[in-house]
Amino acid sequence: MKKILIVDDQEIIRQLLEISLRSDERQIFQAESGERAVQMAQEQRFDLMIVDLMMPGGMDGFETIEYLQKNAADKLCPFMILTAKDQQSERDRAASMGVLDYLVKPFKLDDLFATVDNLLAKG
Amino acid sequence: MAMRNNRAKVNRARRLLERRRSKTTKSVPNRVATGPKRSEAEERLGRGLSNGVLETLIQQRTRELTEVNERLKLSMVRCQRLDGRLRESEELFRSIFEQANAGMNTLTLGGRYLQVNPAFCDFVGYRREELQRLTVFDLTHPEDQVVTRERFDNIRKGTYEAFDYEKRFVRRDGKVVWGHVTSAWIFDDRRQPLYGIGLVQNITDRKEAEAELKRTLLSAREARTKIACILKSVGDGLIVTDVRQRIVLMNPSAEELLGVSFEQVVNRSITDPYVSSLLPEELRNALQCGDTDGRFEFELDDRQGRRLRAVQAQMSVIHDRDDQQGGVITALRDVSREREIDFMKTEFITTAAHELRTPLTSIRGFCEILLTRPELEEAQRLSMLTIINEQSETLARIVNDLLDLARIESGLGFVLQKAPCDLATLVTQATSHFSWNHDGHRFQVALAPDESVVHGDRAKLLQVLENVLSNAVKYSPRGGLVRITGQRNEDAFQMSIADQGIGMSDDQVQRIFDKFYRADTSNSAIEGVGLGMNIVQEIIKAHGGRIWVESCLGEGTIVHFTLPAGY
Repeated sequence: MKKILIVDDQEIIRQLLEISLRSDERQIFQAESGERAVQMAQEQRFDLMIVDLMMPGGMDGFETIEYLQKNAADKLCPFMILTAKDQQSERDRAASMGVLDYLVKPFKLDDLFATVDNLLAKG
Repeated sequence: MAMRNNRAKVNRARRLLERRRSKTTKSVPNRVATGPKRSEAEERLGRGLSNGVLETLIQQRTRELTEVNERLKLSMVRCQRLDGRLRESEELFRSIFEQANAGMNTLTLGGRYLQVNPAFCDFVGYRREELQRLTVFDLTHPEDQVVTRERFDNIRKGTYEAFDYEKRFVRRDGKVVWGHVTSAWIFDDRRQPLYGIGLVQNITDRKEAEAELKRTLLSAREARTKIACILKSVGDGLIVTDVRQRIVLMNPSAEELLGVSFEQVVNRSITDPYVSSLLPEELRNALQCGDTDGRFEFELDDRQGRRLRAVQAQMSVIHDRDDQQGGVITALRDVSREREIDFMKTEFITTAAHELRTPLTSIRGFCEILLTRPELEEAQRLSMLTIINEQSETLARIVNDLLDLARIESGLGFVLQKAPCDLATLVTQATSHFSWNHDGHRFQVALAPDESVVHGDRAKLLQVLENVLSNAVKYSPRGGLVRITGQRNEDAFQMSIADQGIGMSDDQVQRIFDKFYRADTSNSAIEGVGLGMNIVQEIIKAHGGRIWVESCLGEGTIVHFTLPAGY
């Protein structure tokens, strides 16, 4: 059973991702903020984290990934970014952090499945 | 022969003597100085002199008389000559008088014209006989009466023997002409003025030219003042340099923009190290290389602790009348605001794209699921369709905002379909949008249904409420109470929407109605394209209402607006 954590402030997007990705071999978890994701990632190890960049009130996607890379290296998993931000500066920043899978909203479900399958296979 | 001649001479001499004798009472000076000799001869004649002696006397006397006669002849010739000269002189005067180009006249002390020449008649447009019935004062312009009288009085008093002045005459046809009058006066033995001889030169053309020159100078001065005023008040900074690269003009806007006073640099070359040190590098370089007719932008550091300014410079060559380069004029414009708006527009496009992407993501995602998973249960399908429907409404709202913006930008404004509508009903409708996904927020509505009727466009007012309420919800991320109150004041209805959110700083409050302005750009997760409050303000204004905001950081925000009351 693979564990996937969805980090997005928007409930509808979390719902969409959960419905799309849920299957017998996958267990889906949701975090509505960066802080919640950090907390959950320290409690258990995930096989993949799908992270939104823009989140209100606290840590954004980059900060969340950076924090986890620094402070939870032992439980580190592959990350993929799923965001509405589509600027080269953000892609560059993600790449500099070692996150190469960057999907822009709105996405095609097939693209999402392919990326997720690929990352889970690697992991 | 000789005897006869002598006798004739003697006779003549006798007659002469008789005539002399009859005139002895008159003391006429002797032109022939022979008086005493004549009386001696008389005596001798009377005494009966001898013939020989007499003969000698007669001969002597005859010689004397011949001399006298010659002298008399000479005198007569002289007299004739004098008379001729006088006549010539008189004729000369007459000829000058009649033919002179300048007006001439003779006049009495009372100002009556005695004689006038044709030039004077032409000048004043009267015939000679008419003028002889008129006086100087009849022809003098009303404004010059006093000076004219003064001149005549001076002659009468004997202060002056002549005068010379410029004055206006009124012609027979009413036209006013200028004359330069020179008048010399003839006095009798008792120093009483007899008559004056006047010379009047027509100086109308000169006077008109003078007046024209004065007018031209005046209008040139006015034009110069006007140009100076324009240069002073023009909003753009202006710097003018001459061919030798000296700063010859700098208006107050340029002084303000560059933080340099014109006096510091006036007539100094831009290559002067002192001047160079005062000007920003880009401007200095451009002015020095003289690569004109160019446009460039540069930034000004805050010399006086002001914020960074973006300045656009436009250089143009000044061509003089002969099309020679006469210098360079550089216009400086503070484009900080434009650049700021450009930046906000770019931000806006990014944000708008992002805002459109979020609902689009769920619509597209759920549609794909619905299409690819026929095994889904009916309840699940329905829930997904509901989400799609709601998200498409969000999408429509954003698109409407953009269209509103386009309409406001183009100056078309809103077309309102006004009707009486109850704000209480609209509030209920607006809050229902938020109730399902914003559980943390509570809405408290205190509006009397009958009082809250206003005259307005239902759809637009709903848009206002949705915008203000969504801000109240967005900017109070930890939930809380949103209070909606309203009261009627005379012919307006005032509504207030208060939240317990993060609030705004004074600067944020000031800019809340700016286009594209988002109170917190660092928190990009706050939904909205930054048009909301600008559109809200436009809608309220279109209704003839007013909108304002009170806010306190950390305590919350209250939005107030008024609308004309309905019936």
